[in-house]
Amino acid sequence: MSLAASRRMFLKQTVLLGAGTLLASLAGGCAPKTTAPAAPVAEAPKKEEPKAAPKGQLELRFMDRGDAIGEASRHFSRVFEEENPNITVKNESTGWGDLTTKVATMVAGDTMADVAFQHSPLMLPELGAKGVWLNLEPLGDRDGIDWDIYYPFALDAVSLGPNGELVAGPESLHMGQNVCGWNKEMLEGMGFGTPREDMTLPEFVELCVKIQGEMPETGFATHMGNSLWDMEALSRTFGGYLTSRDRTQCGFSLDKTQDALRWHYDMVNTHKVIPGRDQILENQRSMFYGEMLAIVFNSPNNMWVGFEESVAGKFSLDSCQMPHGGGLSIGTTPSVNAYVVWAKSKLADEAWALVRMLTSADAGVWMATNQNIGAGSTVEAWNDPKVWEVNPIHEHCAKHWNTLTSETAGVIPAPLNTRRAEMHDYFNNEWAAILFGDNPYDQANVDRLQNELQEIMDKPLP
Amino acid sequence: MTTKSISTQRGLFSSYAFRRKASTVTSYIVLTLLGLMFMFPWFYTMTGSLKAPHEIYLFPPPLFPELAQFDNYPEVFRRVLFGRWFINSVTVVTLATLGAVMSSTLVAYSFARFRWRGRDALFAITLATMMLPSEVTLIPQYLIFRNLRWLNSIRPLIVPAWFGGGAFNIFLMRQFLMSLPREFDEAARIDGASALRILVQVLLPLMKPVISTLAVLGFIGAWDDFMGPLIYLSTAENFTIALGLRYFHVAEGQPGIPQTHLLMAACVMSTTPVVILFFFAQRYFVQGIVMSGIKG
Repeated sequence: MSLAASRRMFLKQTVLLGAGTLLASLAGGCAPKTTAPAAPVAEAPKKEEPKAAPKGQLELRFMDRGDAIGEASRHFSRVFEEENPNITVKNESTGWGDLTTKVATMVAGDTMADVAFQHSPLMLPELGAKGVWLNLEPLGDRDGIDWDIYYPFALDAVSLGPNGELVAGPESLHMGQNVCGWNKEMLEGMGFGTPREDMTLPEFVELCVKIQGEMPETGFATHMGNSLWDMEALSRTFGGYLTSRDRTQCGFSLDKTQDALRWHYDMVNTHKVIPGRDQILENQRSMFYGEMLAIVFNSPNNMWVGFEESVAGKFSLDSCQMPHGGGLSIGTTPSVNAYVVWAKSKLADEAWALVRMLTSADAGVWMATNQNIGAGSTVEAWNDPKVWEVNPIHEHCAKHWNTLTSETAGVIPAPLNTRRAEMHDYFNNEWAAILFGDNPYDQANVDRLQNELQEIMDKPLP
Repeated sequence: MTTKSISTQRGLFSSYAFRRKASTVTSYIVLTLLGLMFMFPWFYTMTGSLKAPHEIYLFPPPLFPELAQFDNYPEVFRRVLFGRWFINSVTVVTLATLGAVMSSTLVAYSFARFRWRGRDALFAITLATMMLPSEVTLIPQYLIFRNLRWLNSIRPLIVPAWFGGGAFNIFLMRQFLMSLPREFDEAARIDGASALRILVQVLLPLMKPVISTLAVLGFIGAWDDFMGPLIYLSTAENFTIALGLRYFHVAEGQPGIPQTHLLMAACVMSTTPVVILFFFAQRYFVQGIVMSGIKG
């Protein structure tokens, strides 16, 4: 037998074999799962099986947040279906950490869902500035929406279109890590008093030093993050900023910003009431729940959601706004969870209707009272007595936010050129290096960081 | 031989035996400690899966739950479509592994045993694909599957495995085939066997080690694959376990009802098949490391 003949035969047989196995695999494993065993009976109550769409039925694709916090999106998807029997909402759940990758891929592939969850400013600016999301303002105006139902800075936080257009409906509002929460029983037991809004920062430091003396060996009086996000709010408390109002200038080296950063540096290195890098046990939340922290600075959502489940009655939470006596103000960094409509959606009107429902006052109240998360972005929901009763910590926020305007609330901590990740990564690494003693906190380093951060803000749009 | 020399020899002998025993005991102690150290994360996950939510946050973290919460396991099924995800994962893993092993065998056979024009160039190109990071091909592949209308199905996770099985598999298989003497093929050919028959009846029985190695590596790779399912699957009923586990993850800095205990329960259930596979295919895991230099 010649080699050529055997090769030909081999190729023929290979093709046949390959085709056969491929067909078998396609038929067996890739066809619609009609033969797949039924899911366990226990799953039935919460399962959201896709409904068979009747003829003429519209299918609205909704990329929601695929975790427990996203339950609200899925709940309102069902409510929306009940109110619009001709529409089926197909939930395409995606985890928080994976949204950026997935959304970018789907947009590149022209297969984006009609409605999607996005976070301002963590996710929205990049694609918002490229016109990927629909401008919702004309739709709202057409439908006679009263935009004043929303906090104005919530709308500002999602006005991130190519020319500042409103590209999302604002859901859960978040104004920065500026709420002060504490372990009520622990502080009562120590007898030094508790933080108060009207306290000056030196008084607050004095309280922390006293508390620190009573903490266990691995415990700390307080903790606040050291990321750009956290330091932005703190800088604004002192009257400075890291991101200017027009989001084109970095204010790292400004005197007031440096006052804020120096205060934070001293809390870690001089007073030693905030844990250093090697003293942080997992993260702020787990340290607080584990009674290794007396006072935390965070947003109400981050502090309140899951608190009761996590501490199981070991202690209770009390809170106030960040101490800002002595002429300071509470620094805010507005941001929202938001819902966008894909600019190429063929169901833009239906998508917009779903966004309206998800961002309504009713939805806000539902989220706050059922999941303890933020009460949306409407003034009505945040000031609802039911919300305050279930979430006492939300009352402080609402009362503070009611006094803010677009001008006084500040802007999102992200540069206008959408290079947020680049700027945050640079700041987070370099500031941590100074804060934890890897680099000296001197004028040379301050100037270097200022220049580098400004260089990032000066770059063109990616 | 004098009494002195015999006793010296005995002394030496007994000292050698002692040293050998001591060395064995030391090895066992060191290996046991290392084994325990490597097992600890899994052990902690398992005990964590039986804890109440608040016990996850206790300092110092307790090793064992105060009262074992066995209900965490059924709770995973109540919260999410874990059963469906398990079936999806098994389907993907079985078909993708089968496809990768079968098709890479055929391709490698061609590269190893036949001379044809452009063979070496094609082999070099095949190897060159290993240099491409998966991120580079992510969007083009996505577009291909979009055009085929295969998005939100498990087809993109299975079908590519049937087209060659990947450069690494082909390479490993080819190298193994080249180490088998050609005399086997020639003897079979003289007896009238076709090329495919030579492969199936003569070479395949000799290729068991490499096939098992690739099957084991393929199984683990497909079972743990996260990026593929993330990109191609959209609706929960099509998820695989690796993707579905994200439901229980609360991102750092994000609000979240604590679900670490449920995440751990789901992790224990999702790693169990791999652990079982390890017990049955331990030999091939070791062979896999020896042959490929890649850990499972």
